[in-house]
This record gives sequence, structure tokens and C-alpha cells, in this order.
Amino acid sequence: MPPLVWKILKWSSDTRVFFFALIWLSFLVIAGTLAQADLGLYQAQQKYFSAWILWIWYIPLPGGSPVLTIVFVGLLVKLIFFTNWKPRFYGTIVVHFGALLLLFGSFLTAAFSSEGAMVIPEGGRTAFVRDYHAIELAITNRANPEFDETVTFAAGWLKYGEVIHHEQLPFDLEIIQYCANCRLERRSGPPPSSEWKGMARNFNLTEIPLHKDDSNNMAGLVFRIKTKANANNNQLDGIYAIFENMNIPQAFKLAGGDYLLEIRHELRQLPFEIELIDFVKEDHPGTQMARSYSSEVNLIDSDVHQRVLISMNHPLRHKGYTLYQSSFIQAGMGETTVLAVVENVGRLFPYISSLIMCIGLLLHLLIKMPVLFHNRSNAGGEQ
Amino acid sequence: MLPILSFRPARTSSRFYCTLLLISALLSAGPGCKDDRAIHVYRTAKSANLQKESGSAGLGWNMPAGWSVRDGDAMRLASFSAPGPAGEADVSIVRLAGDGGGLAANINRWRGQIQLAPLAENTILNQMQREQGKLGVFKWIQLTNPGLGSNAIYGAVLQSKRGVVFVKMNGSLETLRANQEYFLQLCRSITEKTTSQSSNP
Repeated sequence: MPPLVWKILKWSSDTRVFFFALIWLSFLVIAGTLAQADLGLYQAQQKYFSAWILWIWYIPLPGGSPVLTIVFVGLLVKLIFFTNWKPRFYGTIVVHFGALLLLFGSFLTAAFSSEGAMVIPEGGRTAFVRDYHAIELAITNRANPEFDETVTFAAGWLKYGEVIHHEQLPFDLEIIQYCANCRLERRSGPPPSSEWKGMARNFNLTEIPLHKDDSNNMAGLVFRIKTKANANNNQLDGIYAIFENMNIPQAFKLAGGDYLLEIRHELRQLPFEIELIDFVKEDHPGTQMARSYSSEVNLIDSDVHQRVLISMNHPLRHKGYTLYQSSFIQAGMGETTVLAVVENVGRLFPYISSLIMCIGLLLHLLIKMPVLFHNRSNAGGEQ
Repeated sequence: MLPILSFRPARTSSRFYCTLLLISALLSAGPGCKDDRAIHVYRTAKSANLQKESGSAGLGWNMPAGWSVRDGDAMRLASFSAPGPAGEADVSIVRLAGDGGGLAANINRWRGQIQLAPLAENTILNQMQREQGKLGVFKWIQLTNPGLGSNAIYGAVLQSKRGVVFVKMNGSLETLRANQEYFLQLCRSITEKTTSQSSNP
């Protein structure tokens, strides 16, 4: 048995470690809650609770992830190695098991969950969900008359110096600048060189602080295109810029392909489609304030159609996804529903673990009751 | 530094290794679950209803009668041609996040386009007129340079929830004057597309 590993495991199961971890977690909750007013919910979550290191000034401190990991490991080690498995401790053992399950469920949620919005106009159908936060670079080849072929690169690729290379693309992309929130500024003079093309010839992307409402952030990307040798055309080589929600996205034709480049929130494809049949909105009488709204949809899964009503507090659950009625858009002709789509593998763990902990507490009480009554009757006899 | 208690060996080595394996699997699985260097390739039918943001980016407006839509560029939400007695005027709607660079900076940029010298912000504000529209009170300004022939710019600055909206009409002064009311009608009609949020998670 490696003694050092044993020392570390034993240390993590020490009650004092758990005590100080709880104090630090309480600090994180208070600090994160106060910071949310300035940073917004998402950024406060990322900085205080999801991060491994919390930077305060230039001092690295443990974030929520390592502290919860230590608590989980300590509880697991204590339960397996340093617990007296006698019947009179079964109640506390069950409670500890419930707590372990709760922590494990939170890990599953943090690691596997995703959420986004599905926007469907009346009569329309889609299988795509747009993530609320994650950004991706999407390159779509529209040359084929029957389908579009898209290659997407997650945010980890969008860093200075990264070279994006894919066998299905006739060009490479070298990232020059990425900003999570940027501002467009028209150049006061000519571009630095003739290499700057398209919108980048006349506009600069300037990074600005993140807005606390993530939906107000506009991501931008500056990149150099280098066509591959077999494309036999290097006229497109140069530096380009794109940003979110460009009205006319950057596009060009090369090597028989018609490529569209977009930086956007991640689009994920669900294993089923949703078709909006009708959106109904009820207003409070005499006002234009919505009282309730609902979407009658067709759930299309492998050619099987099923009519479902999604309304406030009545979501649709299917194949691990939960679709909530989130909002709507009214503009001109027709209405558009906005559904919040959540995939959370760990969604049942809080309920199950709470139930187990309740059972553990009841069990502990039942086990202790004879002792309590015995002590009480002894105390009464002495009097 | 917390004192580390003296250790005692585990009761069975199999229990130790099972625990170590479980902890290692969990710790290694976590960081890899959300792969931020993922590459996906997929095909969608041409008729697939992908969620494309509308070209108006959440804004609506009424195009004045007699104007026509024209091809824009990556920056513009919309482009119009406004006919007039001295040729067509170019009208554009642009929205920029945040403060869009600031009011004075943008007005001076427009001034620079017709070779007018920049002005201080206070002076610009004094020259701007106020109008009421669907987005609230907005400011607009008439920029003319007699030394540059008859080229002029009418510009309006409106505040929306997701940034500043700039409406610019550029052309000969005679055409701009003929379209002034239409320009203001366009600005007054700009509105955010109605949304509402439920309390669902």
C-alpha cells in the first residue's frame, strides 16, 4: 500500500477537513451571490462555483470544484474504510450514502448537462437547439443542392495561434484574435496591409468587458485563411473578420464548394424534431400582459408523430431532454415560440438522495429510540 | 496546516483499489465530458428549419412608401434607396452592441465622411433634435457641408435593449430634404420585436 496515498485519503476523510471545506463553501456562496449583481449569473457561476482556481487579485484560491471534490472523496473514503459497520450506525451510514449520491448527482449535472433555446415559428419544425453560452465556429458548404454540410469547431479552437485544419475543407484557418465580447470600430486609416480583406479591411474588432447578461455579448473572430495547395487558388488568402449575427455572413467559393463562415452559439441536434402547430397566448383581461402561453407541437421521432401541449409548468420530457415553454416572439405575421431545452443526466439525483437521507434519519431515530426510552425511564426511577 | 493523523493500513487491499479506481474515474471523466475542442461534422437538408437569427436581429420597422430595399453589407441590418429630385439617397440601419463607440465618436465619424471637422460632444448634443419613436426618445442631426457640393447626411441615434441603433441617410441635400419626413417616420417606427419570459427554469 503506498503510504503517501493512504495519508492523503486519510487526510481527506478527516472531520476537520470537512469542517473547513464547508466554511470555504459558505464563503464562495456569499461571494458568488454578491458578485452576481455585477457579473451576472452565468459569469458568477463560472468564476466562483465551476472554476478549479478562484483568482482574487493575483491570489489563487480554491474554487467550488476542488472543494466539492475533496468533500466527496473524503466522505467516500470515510464511508468505506473508517466507518464502523455495526447495526447501530446503519442510520448514519444511509445518510452519508445519500449525501454521497447528492454530490455525485451534482457532478453529473456539471459534467454532462446542457441547455439552450429552440426557436420555432408557427408551421415550422426543427431539431436544433442553440446553446445559451457555448460558442463555436461553423463552416458550412452549401454547394450541394440537396444538403448543407457543416463542420463545427468548439470554443477551445478559438485561441490566438491555433490552426484549424480539416480534411473536408480546402483551406486552413489561423486564429489571429478572438473576443468573447467585442465592438466594431471603423478604421480611421487604411488597413495594416493588403492582406486584410472583406469587412476586416474597413473595421476593427475591439475586445470589451463581458456584459453581465450573456445574451448581450457579441463574439468576434479575426483569422487568416490559407488555401491548401490542392485547391489551386490562393486569391482568397488573407485576413478576415466575422462576428455574431452578421446580417450577411462571410462567404466565398473555393474548389467547387460554397463556404459560409459563422461564429455563433453552439447548435446541437436533438434525436427528434419539434413542429409548432399553434402558439396560444392569453393576456390578463384589459392588458397586453401575458397571463399564460402554450405551444401545441408535433413531436416527430423516427416517423412517429405525437401531438403534445407544452405550457408553463407543463414541460415535454422525451429521450432525456426536457422542453419548457420559455418565451415567445410576436412580430409582423405569425408567432414564434421559444422553448428552453435542458438535458440533465443528474436531474433525479437530488430527489433520490433527499429521500435516502430522510430514510437514514428515520432509521437512526428508530435505532436510537430504545436507548432514549431506557435512559428516560432510568432518569424517572432515580427521581 | 491541518495535522495529518497517523495512518493505519486498509482492512483489505481490494477495497482500497476499488476506491482509488472509482475516484480516478470520476476525476478523469469530469474534465473530459465537455470537450471544448470538439469537432462535429453533420449534414442538414436544404429545407431544414435551422435557427438562423433574422436579418433584422430582433428589430422591426416600417419602410416608407416609395423607398426600395437594396443590397447591404455585413454591417447593416437594412439598406434602402430613397428617391429624390437630385438622385437617390442611401439609407442604412446599423446596430452596435453596448454604446456603439459613443455618440460623439459616431457623429464625428459621419462628419468626417463629408469632410467636416469633429466637434466636442456638448456642441453635437446642442445641434441634435429630439423625436419620439417606438423605442423611446431618440436624437437626430442634419450634417451638411456647403463646400462639398450638395452632399449631406441625416443621422439618427436610437437606444435599444441590445445596443445602439444608427440610422443614416446619405445623399444630396435636396433629396434628403425631400425625404426628411420619411426618414423620421422610419426612425419612429423602429421597434424591438416583442418577447416575454416565463418563470420556468
